[in-house]
Amino acid sequence: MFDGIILTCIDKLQGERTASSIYHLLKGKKSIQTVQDAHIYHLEKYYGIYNVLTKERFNNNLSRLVAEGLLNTIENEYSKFQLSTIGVEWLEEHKEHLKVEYFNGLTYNKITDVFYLRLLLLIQTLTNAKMNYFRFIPVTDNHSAERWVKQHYQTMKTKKKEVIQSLYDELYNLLDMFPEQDASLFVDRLTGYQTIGLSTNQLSEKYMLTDEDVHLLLTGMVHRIITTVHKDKEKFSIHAKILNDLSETNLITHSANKTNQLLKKSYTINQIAAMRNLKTNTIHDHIVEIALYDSDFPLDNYISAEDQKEVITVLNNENSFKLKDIKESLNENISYFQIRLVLAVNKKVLK
Amino acid sequence: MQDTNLLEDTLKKQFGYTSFRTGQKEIIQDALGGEDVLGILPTGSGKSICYQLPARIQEGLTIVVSPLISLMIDQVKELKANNFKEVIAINSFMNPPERKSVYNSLYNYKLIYVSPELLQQQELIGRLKRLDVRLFVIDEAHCISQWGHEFRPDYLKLSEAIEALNHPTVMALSATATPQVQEDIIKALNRPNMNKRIYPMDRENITFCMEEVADDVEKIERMTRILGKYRIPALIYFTSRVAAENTARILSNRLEDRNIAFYHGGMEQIDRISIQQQFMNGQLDIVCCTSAFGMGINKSNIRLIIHFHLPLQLESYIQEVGRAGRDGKSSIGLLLYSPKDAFIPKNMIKNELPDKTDITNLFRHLYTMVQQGMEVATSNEQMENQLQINETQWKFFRFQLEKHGIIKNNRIQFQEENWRHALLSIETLIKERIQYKQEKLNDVLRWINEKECLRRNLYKFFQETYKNPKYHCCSNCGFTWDKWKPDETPLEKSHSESWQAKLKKVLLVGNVNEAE
Repeated sequence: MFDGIILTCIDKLQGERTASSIYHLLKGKKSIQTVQDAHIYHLEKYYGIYNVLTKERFNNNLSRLVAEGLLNTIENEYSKFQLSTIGVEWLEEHKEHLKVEYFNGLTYNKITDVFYLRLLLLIQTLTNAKMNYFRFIPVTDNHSAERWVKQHYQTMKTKKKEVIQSLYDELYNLLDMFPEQDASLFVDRLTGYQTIGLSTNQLSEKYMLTDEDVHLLLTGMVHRIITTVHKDKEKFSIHAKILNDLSETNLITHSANKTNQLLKKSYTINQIAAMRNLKTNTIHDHIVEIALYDSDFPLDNYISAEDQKEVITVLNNENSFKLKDIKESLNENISYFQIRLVLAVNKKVLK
Repeated sequence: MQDTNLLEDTLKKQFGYTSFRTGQKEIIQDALGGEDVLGILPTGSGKSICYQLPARIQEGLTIVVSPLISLMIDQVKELKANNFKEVIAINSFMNPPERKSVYNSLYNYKLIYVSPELLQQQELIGRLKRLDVRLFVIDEAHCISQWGHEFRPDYLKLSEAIEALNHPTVMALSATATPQVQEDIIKALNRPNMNKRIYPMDRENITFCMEEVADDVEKIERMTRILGKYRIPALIYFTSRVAAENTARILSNRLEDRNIAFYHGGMEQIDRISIQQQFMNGQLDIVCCTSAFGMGINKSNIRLIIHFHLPLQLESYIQEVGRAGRDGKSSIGLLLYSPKDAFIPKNMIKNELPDKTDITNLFRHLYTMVQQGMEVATSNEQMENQLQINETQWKFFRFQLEKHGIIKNNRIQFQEENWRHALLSIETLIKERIQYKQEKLNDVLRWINEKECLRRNLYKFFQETYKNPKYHCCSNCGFTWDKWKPDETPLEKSHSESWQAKLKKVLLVGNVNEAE
């Protein structure tokens, strides 16, 4: 899976971005560049699906793919790669098994961990409580998960048996969507009363996968579960409850949001930078971020309609998203910031 | 007399023990009576009860300084599981809003664990000052001494914190402190009249076993044979994460009916909890681990502790081997060594401290920062990246620079003469430290090659006598494996089931043996 995802990303980036941009994409780096790349190259699915990935691990996998002849470095381009013929064939051959359809990274990356940890902790708490055993060590320290379970356990404790039964029915239906092996792996990870779930490495040994693939598979399954629960909140009422307050709408960063509030009060970029003690560039990043998500973004305030047209023409002619290439073909009055804004607003129109 | 009963009742009711172990009661009574106390208790003798019990029954607040975040978190979890809810661990892993909300509600707690770094913060100290701090506990107090086996510069500043908190009763605890280290602790805390409660650290139910082999391959063969013969809970200690992982894999292949896993600090938190709990729960027989495992692990029936690599100091060996046999039953500490082994620790000792190039780089970097009017980055990580050194190394530097007045409140003070002097003094200090560690390693090497009683020669650095061994003494006093008949754990056949059946089982659906 991990190999397939790296190869897919490299394929879609068409040699226009370095390998570390894939690393940032998988980690879910909050920088505007990464988010924008995800949109431009249609890699939204993969955004933030591997938040605990280390650079070392990523690089090792990359070098291995090069050594196995699936990837070539692009000449004269530092740390940019393209698929070799074998790489293209490999991807074609494995397409069916990559399970890419599980993922929905850009939408779910922020809520995946919390949702999953709440589920794990809820199962552990309810089953132990059912056996009147309260001295168990929680599977996670995550405060949000702890707080949520503590709060909801109060209302569930009088009808533990029923809640557990519905949880079982729901999980049964949800896991039934997956191949046997995936469902089995998911269940082996669960901790209940005097049964402790397996670690990532134990799962990878048992199912003969890599640690990376175990992580990605679980993430992908959680995404798919969330999607399914969203579609039928009544059928999956307990899972829906776990999801309830985890909003997906809050996509822009806290800091960009602050900038947005000030923009709405008609402060200029320079004023905001001074007020917030930030660099102008940072405020620019915030505005691009806002432009990505705000469907009513007032683009005309930042670049004239005429210039917008010019950028779009160049974009379509150049057939490239490399900012440097685009900038060079444009009237030099048009700044990088303006190009990025046009890109952000028009992400859906292009391609 | 009534007091005594109260202590015993609390012990039973709150902690589930019927009687105190050696030393616990004396130390607790000192603390409750407002007397400062230095307690040296062997590993596994329940040091933490010494402050958890007073915290529970005494008015006011108990603060515990502990060097290891994982240890703090484990203890808090355990206390909460035991229904002592007014406890919290404040550490640098908390995000700012979380920490803020804890700071605002400090008065809700009776027992607060805190890392020595955070206790430097004026904000925290200021808030703690307003509370009624009755007992100030320094866990792993040997960290205060340069000559302790894990020196932590931050510990040296604890006496300031104690003063700022208006001199609460002080309790310093350690499992391994030589007489020299004990003196250092008392001096550094500036409490010359501390009661000294020193208890022998020898463990009468542990047998020491030393075996020389040709190389790592042979080590694995020895372990395969021993672990194949006995089905017992065992820990195997490694100094490297990779070696722990690889050996776990090899042993799993060779010993198919044993459940074996690895554990180290580089794993995700959820996986670490999972492995710990599986071992506690008996789902795992053997854990291949680094020194990160074991602190705060409360498993009483570990029968065998194997050291695959040389420990760097006898102190750490005593701590690690002390995790065996807390139930008092016959247990073994096996150290496997090959002639080549002495080289690895030598490198580890060197890597622990910055070297000469690092020092020159540091001063050059600081100078550039002075010229650009920059402050020292508040995040340690940033400095570590800029200087390309590890966390321990930067902490060492930072402490030294503060000591020499080069860093004051994150500002760099440039004064050429002072810098020259500091540079030399730091270089000398590092030389001394490396030499000291080398000497400690030599003690280990001498012990390994010891022809006479291993027990006597292990403990002689710490105490004058030792108890008669309850079972077997050591491999130099006639122990052989055929004499060892430990309690074994029953074999549980794991059979493969469908996920549907497993799901049913884990959720206790259709389970008739429920407690309700």
